[in-house]
Amino acid sequence: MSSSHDHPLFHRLRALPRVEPDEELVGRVRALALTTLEGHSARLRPRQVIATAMVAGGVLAYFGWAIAFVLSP
Amino acid sequence: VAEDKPDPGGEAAALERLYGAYRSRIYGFLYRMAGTRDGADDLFQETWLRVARNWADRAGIADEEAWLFTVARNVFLSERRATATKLRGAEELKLVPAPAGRSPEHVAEDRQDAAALEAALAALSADDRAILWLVAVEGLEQRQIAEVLGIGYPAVRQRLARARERLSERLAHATLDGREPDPHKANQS
Repeated sequence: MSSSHDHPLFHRLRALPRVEPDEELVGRVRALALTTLEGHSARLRPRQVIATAMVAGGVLAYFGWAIAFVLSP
Repeated sequence: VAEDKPDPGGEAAALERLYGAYRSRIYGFLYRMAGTRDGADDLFQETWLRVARNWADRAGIADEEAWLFTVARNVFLSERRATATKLRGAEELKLVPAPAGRSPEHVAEDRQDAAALEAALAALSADDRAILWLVAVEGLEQRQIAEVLGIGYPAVRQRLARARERLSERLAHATLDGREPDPHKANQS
């Protein structure tokens, strides 16, 4: 699409004034996004802990059963 | 606030990096989609909140640039469904400083041309504005455009050609402040 980028209309579009977010908005949105990210990470942690505990419990139960089976008369 | 807290996975730092790198481009795109500062401000905030909420998805994403513009466009589409966006075209032109070395007459002429182009762009459909902006100004590649717009790869060229044609037509028919359109600029399709 490189030839399309060179179209005269596109040069005119690129020359249009750039509209930037104001500083207050930039700071506010940054803080909100970081807080949101942190909140989501915190909500994920208990689920990860439960999943890990379930897997560990399963492994322990399996080995416990295997040992009991071997040691049983 | 958030920067003082521990960031074991470096997730906050990664989000900050992304925000620093793309915030101006995302805002510029959203401004062209919304047509007003207020509209762009709201969309900008929602876009970055959605990015933060879906941060876990980022792990499986190969092209973060296309992903961010996709999120921004989806936020615009969601918002537009909720409220009809009123386009105001060239409201910001009065804030643009005059380029150095240009006479006042030339500056006025440039601004009239820019205003005509802004008005023509604002009169296009959201899809046309998006593809023209993403290709012409943001320089996204064809595969990225296909991803952002949710269309097939081969359809991109066709959509782009049509959007360009419609913008040329709008410019050809535009008269600003009673001025006849410039035939050299209007026929650049």
